[in-house]
Amino acid sequence: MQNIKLIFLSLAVVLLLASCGDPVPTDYIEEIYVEAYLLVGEPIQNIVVAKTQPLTSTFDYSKSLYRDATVVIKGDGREFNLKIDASGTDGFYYEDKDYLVKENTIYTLEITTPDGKVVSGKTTTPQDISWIDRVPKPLQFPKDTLDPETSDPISWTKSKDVDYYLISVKCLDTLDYGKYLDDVPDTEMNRPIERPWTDNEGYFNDITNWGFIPNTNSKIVWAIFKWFGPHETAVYAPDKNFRDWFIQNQWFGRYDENLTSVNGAIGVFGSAAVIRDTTFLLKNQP
Amino acid sequence: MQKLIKQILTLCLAIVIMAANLSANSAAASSEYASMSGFVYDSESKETLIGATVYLVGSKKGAYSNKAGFYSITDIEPGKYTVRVTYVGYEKLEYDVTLKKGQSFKKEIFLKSAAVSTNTVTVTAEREVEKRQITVSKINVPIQQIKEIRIGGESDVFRTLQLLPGILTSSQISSGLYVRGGSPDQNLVLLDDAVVYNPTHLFGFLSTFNSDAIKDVEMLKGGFPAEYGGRMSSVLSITQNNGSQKEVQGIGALGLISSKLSLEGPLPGTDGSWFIGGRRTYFDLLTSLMSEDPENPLPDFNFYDLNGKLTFNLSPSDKLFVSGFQSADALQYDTYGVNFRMDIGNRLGAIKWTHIWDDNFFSDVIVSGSHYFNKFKGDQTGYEFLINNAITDYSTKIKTEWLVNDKLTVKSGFEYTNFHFQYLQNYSGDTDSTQQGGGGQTNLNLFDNNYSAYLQTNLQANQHLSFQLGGRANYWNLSDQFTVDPRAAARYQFNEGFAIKVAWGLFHQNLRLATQPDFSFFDTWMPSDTSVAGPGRSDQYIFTVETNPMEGFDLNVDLYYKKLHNINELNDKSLEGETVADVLFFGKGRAYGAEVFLQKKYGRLTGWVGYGLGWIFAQFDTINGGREFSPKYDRRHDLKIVAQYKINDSWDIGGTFTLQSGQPYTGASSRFQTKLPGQNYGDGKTVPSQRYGLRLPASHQLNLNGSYKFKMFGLASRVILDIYNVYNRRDIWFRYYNTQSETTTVEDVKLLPIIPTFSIEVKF
Repeated sequence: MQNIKLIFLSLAVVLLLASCGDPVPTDYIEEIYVEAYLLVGEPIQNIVVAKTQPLTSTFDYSKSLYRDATVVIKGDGREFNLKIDASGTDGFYYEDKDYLVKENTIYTLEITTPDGKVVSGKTTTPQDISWIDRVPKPLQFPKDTLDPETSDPISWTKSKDVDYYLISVKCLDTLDYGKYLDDVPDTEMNRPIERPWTDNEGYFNDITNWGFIPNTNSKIVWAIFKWFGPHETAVYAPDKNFRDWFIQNQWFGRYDENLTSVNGAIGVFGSAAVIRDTTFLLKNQP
Repeated sequence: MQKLIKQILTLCLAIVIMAANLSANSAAASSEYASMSGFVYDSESKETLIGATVYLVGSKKGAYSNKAGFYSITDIEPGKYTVRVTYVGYEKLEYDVTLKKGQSFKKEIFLKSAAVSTNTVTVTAEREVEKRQITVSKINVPIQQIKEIRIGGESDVFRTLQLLPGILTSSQISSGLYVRGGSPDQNLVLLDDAVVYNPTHLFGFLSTFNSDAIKDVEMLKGGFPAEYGGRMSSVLSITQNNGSQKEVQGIGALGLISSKLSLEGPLPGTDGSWFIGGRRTYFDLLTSLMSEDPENPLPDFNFYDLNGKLTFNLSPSDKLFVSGFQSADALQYDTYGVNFRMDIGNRLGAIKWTHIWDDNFFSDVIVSGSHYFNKFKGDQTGYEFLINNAITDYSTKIKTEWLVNDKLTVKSGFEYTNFHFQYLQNYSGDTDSTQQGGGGQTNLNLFDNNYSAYLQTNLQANQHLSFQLGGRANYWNLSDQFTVDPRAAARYQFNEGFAIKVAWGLFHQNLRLATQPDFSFFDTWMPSDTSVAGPGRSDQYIFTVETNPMEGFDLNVDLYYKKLHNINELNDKSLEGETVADVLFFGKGRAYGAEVFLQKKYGRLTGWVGYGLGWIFAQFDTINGGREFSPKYDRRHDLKIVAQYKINDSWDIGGTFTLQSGQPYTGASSRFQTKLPGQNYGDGKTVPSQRYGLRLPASHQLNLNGSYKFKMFGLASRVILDIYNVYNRRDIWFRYYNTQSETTTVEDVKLLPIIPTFSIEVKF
């Protein structure tokens, strides 16, 4: 009986110990964050160097940016010393907008922060791509929103060694749908597309929506559109660095070290060939 | 290590030679002694009983009935004996027998079921026979108890096993068994000796085993003997009902989640029996009767399982069993141009021939096939995606058991298994392009053959000391790997009520499971192919104390240490793969801890108190920066209390209580905002701190149940009331950081609230 008492006494101690959970931590560890994409045929721009921010304070994108880092890109036999978009949030850019990123070219990135930390990365730009079947314009959203029909596919040429493509659809005007059409009542001016999941917090924060296509063609997935109206559709042929960071961006809320492509920081130095087009998404009911 | 293995194998060989000598001596002496053997049955149904104790009073000789219900006692001094036979839930049986020199006495034993097993002689008899049991960490939960322990109105084998110390879950809504630091894929789950791969319904909430179709559940939490192989952690062996040989009878039950019906009876025109049992949920049938909002449709969901068994008593020495099992879950959803269908299922068939060659030689031949699959087909306005995973095995096993004499038993066996693994994922948008290669596709189609042989000996050196030594050799064809698993255990009986056991062994596992810890959606089995550095392996060290602190109570204390080599985690960032190494990460782990298990099997009040204290660590080069971490199912403290009380012949009440350390979760140390080209706002991300480095608040839950037996239209009936989560403790399922806006918030997703359920059961 004495043994039993001892056992139950031990268990009582355990209950006390087990009843405590850890408090949610408030520790802050600052890290450097880099987001840099080179797009074939476009100037070097939007090279973002930032600091991660504490979880306990309101996130401020503008305040997170490094504006006094030294950012150098080398490639194509040249060295590009980048300047900061001092007042805005576009990050670093190369002053000479006439220089366009070349396909099939190795570029390296070197960043030195004011406190001497060095971040580096390397990317090989993919082969350029072009449209085969463009997005129809205008594009008629199906009348039956519950069972929308399948569209004809859009397609593009394959970029050598690229198997995964990214599609982005950017709404060019989220407010004035009716402005572009004749005989539209005022109530039709602002037209988000209502679906059960559009109630999600933050759904309409971003005007650009993305899709992942392991192919060189795709049917139009109607769920990629958030608004009716004018849109820019772009297809990216990303390198592995860009592709991995896309996975990080779209699928995981928590940073994964296996998806980063820069040394000395969190983030990406990637590249992509890109094609763009515009379309107008007509709503399902007149 | 090589040297040690060699020594163990040499020892096994020596034992076999010794066994041969002893056998020769035994044969010479056989005329001096008598033996006794036969089957133990339920007197009503003639169902064989597994684990019944047959004991010769005053002789210190006895045996448990094995999985076929067969018992054998050898080397009995001639004379007059009282035979005492006991079994949980049955009345004690005693009868006198006079054994003569050289007599081989065959005796079929029939036990009557009893409302309450109360007598202390039952315990005494069992203890005498228990002294011969060397296997460590073995727990038999009586099936009657499993039927009484219900979660959400359903009695469930896995849910009951989760109430044992040292067996953890990934969450309260998961039935996966995490045994002493091992993941569910490291458990060998056998149904009538055939392997079942993913025995879960409701995406892991319930197991697929219908408790009405089961007659025995044996759990070996570690250190299992050489007769079992192919897994690193534990063995769960489930035996299906044979069915009544006396008359056709059945039992039906209506419950909240599902309803079930079992029928059994004698095989006409032959000496044998049949059993068939089924269970089905009716969520889909109910929703089809409801008027649905087309803009917010409900998903269609159903599951079912079906068990069947035929038993042929071909002769007094031959039994043939034909077993079948099938389970399926289906989920379908269609809304706003997004539609998908998901199917998950198991199919299994086994034929087992049991032959008693002699009083002391017994064999089983089992031919079986097992198939597990999961399929998903989705379509988003013409963009298709497809998952089609499966494992199929065809297996032949030959097992022998030789009771050389009263002191020595030798088990041996050979197993051959042919595997086919299918791992298909196609996100390319065009599911017809599966065979064409390209991005977004993984299409592994692998075949493997496994050959295993084992030898295992139980030797009682003297009244106090017993050994169990064995070895298992495995060869896997695909990876051309040969492994040897030495196993050793010993038991020392200090006195009537106190024994210690030790066990050590190596346990190889060639199969790997790609899975997420929370759901059993797309669990995919794969072999260790040439891309993988060999099979996984655990090294286990176990120390056990067995004692009886007071009459009617058994107290076991287990200490264990387990090293895990070459284990795997799913690489959930993998987009495509040509080899197994493309879709998995590989690492190592270790687990150690202690378990206290106080059990009362007999009397009006039955149940147990179990406490486990454990540590689990894993290390993968590609996870957590290569630093060691504790996995999600690591719980430091784990207290479980199970009690059933029989008030009278009509009323039973019971309850379960669990209290566990909170589950680990991963915290964060800062956040940032990613912006892909063209994004104006971006997505907030957190930078994780130590993986699973923090703990949620402790988890605890009380479930109560009560049942009342009565007659309805002359049929034995029972109403059952269950209250799940009595005091509505909403434990946290998982915690995450919400970074949708500029302000980061910590969100908790809670588990199920209080759920009372009512069910009715009718026997006919």
